[in-house]
Amino acid sequence: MIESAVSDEIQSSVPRNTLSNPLTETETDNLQAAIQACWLRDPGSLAEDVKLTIFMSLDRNGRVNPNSIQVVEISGGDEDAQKVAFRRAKIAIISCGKNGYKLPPNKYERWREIEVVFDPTN
Amino acid sequence: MTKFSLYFYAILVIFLVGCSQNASTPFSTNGVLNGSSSKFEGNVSDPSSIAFFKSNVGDRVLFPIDQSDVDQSGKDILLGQVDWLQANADYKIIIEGHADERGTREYNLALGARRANSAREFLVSRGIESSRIQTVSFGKERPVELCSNENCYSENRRAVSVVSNLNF
Amino acid sequence: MLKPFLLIIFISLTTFAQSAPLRITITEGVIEPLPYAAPAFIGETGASNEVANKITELVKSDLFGTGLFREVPKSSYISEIDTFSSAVQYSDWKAINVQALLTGSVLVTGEKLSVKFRLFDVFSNSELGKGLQFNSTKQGWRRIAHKVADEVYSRITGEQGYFDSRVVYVAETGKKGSRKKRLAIMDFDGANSKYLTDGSYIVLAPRFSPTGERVLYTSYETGTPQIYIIEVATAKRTVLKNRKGTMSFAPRFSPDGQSVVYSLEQGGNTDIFIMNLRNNSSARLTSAPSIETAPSFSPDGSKIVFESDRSGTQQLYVMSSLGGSAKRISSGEGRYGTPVWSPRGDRIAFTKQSRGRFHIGVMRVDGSKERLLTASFLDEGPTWSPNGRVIMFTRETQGERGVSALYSVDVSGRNLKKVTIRDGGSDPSWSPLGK
Repeated sequence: MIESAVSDEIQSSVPRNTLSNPLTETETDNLQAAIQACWLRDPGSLAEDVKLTIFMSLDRNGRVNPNSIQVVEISGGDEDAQKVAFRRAKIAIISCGKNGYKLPPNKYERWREIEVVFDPTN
Repeated sequence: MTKFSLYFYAILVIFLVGCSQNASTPFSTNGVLNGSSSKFEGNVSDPSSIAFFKSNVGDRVLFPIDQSDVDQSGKDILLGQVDWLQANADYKIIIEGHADERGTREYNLALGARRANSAREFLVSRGIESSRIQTVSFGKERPVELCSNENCYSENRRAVSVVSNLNF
Repeated sequence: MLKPFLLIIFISLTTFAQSAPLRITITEGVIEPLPYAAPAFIGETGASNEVANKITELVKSDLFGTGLFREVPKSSYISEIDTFSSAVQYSDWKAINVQALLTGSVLVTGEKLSVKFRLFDVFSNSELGKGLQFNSTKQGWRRIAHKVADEVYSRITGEQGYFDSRVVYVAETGKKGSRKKRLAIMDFDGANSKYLTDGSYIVLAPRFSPTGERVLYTSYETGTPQIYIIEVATAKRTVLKNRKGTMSFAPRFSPDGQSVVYSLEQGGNTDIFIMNLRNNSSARLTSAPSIETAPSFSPDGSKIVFESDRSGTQQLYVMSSLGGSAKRISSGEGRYGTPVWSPRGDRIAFTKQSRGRFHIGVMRVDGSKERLLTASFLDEGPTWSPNGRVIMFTRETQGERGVSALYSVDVSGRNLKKVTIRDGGSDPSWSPLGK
């Protein structure tokens, strides 16, 4: 009797999909591969010393909101190198996401905000 | 001195003075003096001629890869050069050091210089006055053999003695 | 009694609902040239069109030559650029994947030339840096094109360009064994070349001064190798003071242009010396019975890297530019020579001989991260572009008909190509950027 009362509470007060599973390894691999394909690298460049993390938010169709893109953290290289690294990372995200990233719609709450770490330094 | 050799020396002087960039130096600027005056080297049967020096005494010492020490056969040749120089006291000698092409430009210049100097030191140690000897290195710039294998390289790693009785 | 229990569950469920952003890590990308568009620069008058087209083509050629840029051709364009000041429809360029858009205009009036350009960061919907204008004479159109290309390059890559620069080298003609060698100077792309010496004496290994106005080189003009300085503009040359019975070679300027570091050979031994150009005084920097040669300054002038066979084989060493103890930095199997410090200060380029092959390579200044960029019968004598991204060197082919040519390669080892010059060529030296 108590359990059903609790489960009624749960159904009505908590938004749907919150309890959806995290993305599977395949789903994150696919996202990784999608962004990778547009991340232009230049092995001789000083921007290759720069590691950065970019925050982005996406709509339900997997499209990136360009105004949401910002640097969460950045290290390595001088100021010019960092600017170039940021530009390359931003273009990678926007270009390959032009038609929306293929992400599971029923897990939207899990991927509506993403931090992408770009690490060329290995 | 015979009339022939008088004319010979006169022509040699005119030729060499006319050809060199700077008349007061016997050094060639392009490394092509060696052999360019072959017409004026005299008769090989004349023991005081340059031709004799080159073919009978031997004007060059060869070296193994990277080496600049004169080996026994090199010493034998240089001893012959000592004898000739002592018999022909009005001649001076320029020793040109060379390297094969399997090395970088500056290092080969330095290596050629080491080789020329090794030959020089041997001559001096056997009594030739050092004021009669000058050295120069051509590095890898003037190979005598042009192929790219050891047959040619071994001929190019050399110290060549160029004798001349012009003043310098 | 049930209510607090439900409340706790409710609270913990709602906090659980605000999941942290998904985090993914990208470590790989694609090594591809950056796609850009450069619609033809607009001639502001009919008479300006020819020069406008030449300038556009040269800018594109400079960018293409780096291996880092790919032009998206006009046939793909959705919008056109009709006038220099028209607004850019970013979505049209995004749609064809153009990341950078270059526009320009050219005006020729009599002998005067004026060039304007703007560069757009398409995915940011904005200009990348400010538009600029360059003025010169009509003759100077190539330099202006190189300057425009340098601006595009530096704004996009974050590094200085290298197109407005020259190379001095030894032009070679004639047969192996009796080569005629002449000092020659040209634009980095091979244009505008002229001889500085006449070929009647052997010349070797020229090196630019820090301002690009003078060149040091080794010459057999007096019959033995001696160092000369030549003024590029006038071809007037002077010999560096030297002692009779010695050879001097392998000279390089210090970064302040006031001194020359070089090799001096005496009595068969070669060491490194430095000469102050103001008062011609010289000082010895190494003192060893081995061969010490090929010195090169660090860009800050504090250190010198050089080549020595003191260990038995040629290796690279670094010492203070005041001389003193030297630390070996080369560690691989083989012989190392012709070290040259990068203008960026972070790397040293060198020639390596190993197992019968020659290589151009780079290493960090402490000797770590050695990487070979080329391999052939004979590659030697690297020189750095002014931005430290590209290395030019000599490649010689084997056999009786062997010839020397100039090649360039990116510091990453990519984009190896031959430099087009009329004669054979060797011993290149790259100037600083033009002013």
